[in-house]
Amino acid sequence: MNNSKKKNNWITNSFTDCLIKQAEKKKEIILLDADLSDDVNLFKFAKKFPKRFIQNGIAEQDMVSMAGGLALMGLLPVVNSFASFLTARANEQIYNNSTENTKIIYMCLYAGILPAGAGKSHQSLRDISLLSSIPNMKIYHPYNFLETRKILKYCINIERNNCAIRLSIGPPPTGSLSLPKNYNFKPNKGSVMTKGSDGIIFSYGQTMINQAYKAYQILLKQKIKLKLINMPCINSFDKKWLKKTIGKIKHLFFLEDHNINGGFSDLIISFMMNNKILNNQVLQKFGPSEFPACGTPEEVLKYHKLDHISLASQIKKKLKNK
Amino acid sequence: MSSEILFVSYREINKIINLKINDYVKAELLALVNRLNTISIIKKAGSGHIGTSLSAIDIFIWVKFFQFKTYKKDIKKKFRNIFFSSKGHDVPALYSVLYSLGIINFNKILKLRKIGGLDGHPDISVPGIDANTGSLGMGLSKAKGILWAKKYLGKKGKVVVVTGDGEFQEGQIFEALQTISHQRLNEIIVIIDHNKIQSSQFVKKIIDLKNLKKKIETFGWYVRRCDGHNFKKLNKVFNKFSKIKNKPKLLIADTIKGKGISFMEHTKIMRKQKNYTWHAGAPNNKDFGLAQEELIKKIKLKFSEKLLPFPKFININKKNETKSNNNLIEIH
Repeated sequence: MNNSKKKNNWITNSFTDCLIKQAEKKKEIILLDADLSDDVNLFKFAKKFPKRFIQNGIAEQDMVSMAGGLALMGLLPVVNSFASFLTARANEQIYNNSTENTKIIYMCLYAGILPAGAGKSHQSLRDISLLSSIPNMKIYHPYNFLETRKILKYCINIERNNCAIRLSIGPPPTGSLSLPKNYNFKPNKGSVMTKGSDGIIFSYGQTMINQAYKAYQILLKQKIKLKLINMPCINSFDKKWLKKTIGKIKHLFFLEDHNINGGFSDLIISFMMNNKILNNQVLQKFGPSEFPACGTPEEVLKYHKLDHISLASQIKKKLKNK
Repeated sequence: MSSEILFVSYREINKIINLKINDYVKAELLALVNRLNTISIIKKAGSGHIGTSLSAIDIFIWVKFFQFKTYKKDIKKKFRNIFFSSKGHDVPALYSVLYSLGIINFNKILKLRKIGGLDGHPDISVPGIDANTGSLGMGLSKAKGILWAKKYLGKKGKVVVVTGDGEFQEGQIFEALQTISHQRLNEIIVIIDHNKIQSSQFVKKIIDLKNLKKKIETFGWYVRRCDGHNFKKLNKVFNKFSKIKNKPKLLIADTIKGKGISFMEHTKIMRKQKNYTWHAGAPNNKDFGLAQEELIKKIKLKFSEKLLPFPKFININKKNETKSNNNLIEIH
């Protein structure tokens, strides 16, 4: 289990390795941590750049405002904590920094419902709703290790806004789908993971994409073909691309492990409405609306009806009611 | 007199700045004309925080003009002295000082709280404003980040931050007191504008800060206390601070909320009333007229004492523009 080679395909490890490579090139990258570096191996960064690593202790508000000060002086702070603590407890500090139109990268670790053993104090199901009303905040959730690298590079080198990168912790689920060949991250756009025209599932992150893919496999056996789309950009969308991707497909499903109110689904549906992308489509959101349950991954996904079996049956039911 | 809103122009203030007189006397003259400009800025806007502006203004004057000078040409440079107020609602006084320094122009100060004018709380889009504040408790942490960056980048310049006393009820302040000391960011200077009143009540009545000096010292800070309206004493503390290298520094500046206008000073009001009534909102025409009259009298007295010609006043309200403002607009 301790074989670090085995963990190369973990999102968190990929993030840290990429951050170190970027920091070699960019002297303005400074890493701040609220004593949660173990979960993402940030000690590697601290070892390599001891003068650019600020251990701020369990003081998230102070850490975020300090990052604001660094950014005012032209540095690029990368701020690490669990999404549930960082974006909620220090939300006003994040907002205040944003009003200064500087750029800060917030690492939102432990985003989403899994792992579910720690329970609702740690699972982050509110961060998208807490951040998306900040005008210059771009929220990302990379699907896998490869996309993590691409998004981090993009956030560091190209994105002008503040970035919140939601990171799933833990290993990639078994039987995970790979990203399309020669995959290139394109801002505001998603990537088509499976082809189909009976309906579209828009989703993001390793947990829900994996469940969606398994649901796709169940339905495929019943001759139902779904187009599964990975949407790593949570709050910014490309109108033309969406229009083209949806085409004449009637059923649109939105799947996430953030709270169903104020999450990605609401943001993309609002965007579709405001930009006249919809043409009598039938829409359905899947996501938890209660406090997240505590348990094993399987138990918790099943409890919230977000496991592949529940999803497949709900989707099938919806498609039958044409 | 009551319909007039009088200002002392930058040109006139510049004459004071260029006088070859003792710094303490000069600071007193500048403080008087800036008090006048501050209340006029608030009156013209129709709202703003008058009590806290008047308690903090002497600190602003001393730091910006004498201790750690701010120059217009440097306001975007990373080696400049950084000075901002964490409580932020004293910003009318800071705008007045920035106007006196030639950093913001007259048209701007007439547009406090108006679109395209000056924000009701500090915003870095305004020249001379170093950080966005107003939501209490964040300033120490932000100053800490600025100082850390200056050291990392090898840039000179002081980092000074003013806080309120009620602001010390915010938890983030204590996070910062702890981390600043641990991270050895010893060059920071924090000044508490200890005017004893938060909103309309005594701090000690809302949540008592108890032995603030001892409390902060326990966090590993070097703490001094002095009269925040006495320039000589302020200077002495700053001189002492410059010799302390092994601890971050904090001054508890004992001030009076509403200082300089007799009927706004908390020390007088709170003897008669339960509530301090000059926290937020512009004074009505009558009270404004009285306040203005008192300040002009003081200005004239001070200038004649020093055998200096009176500064000229500009009245921006010739057409009787001010709406009667009998009720204070209470926005905290």
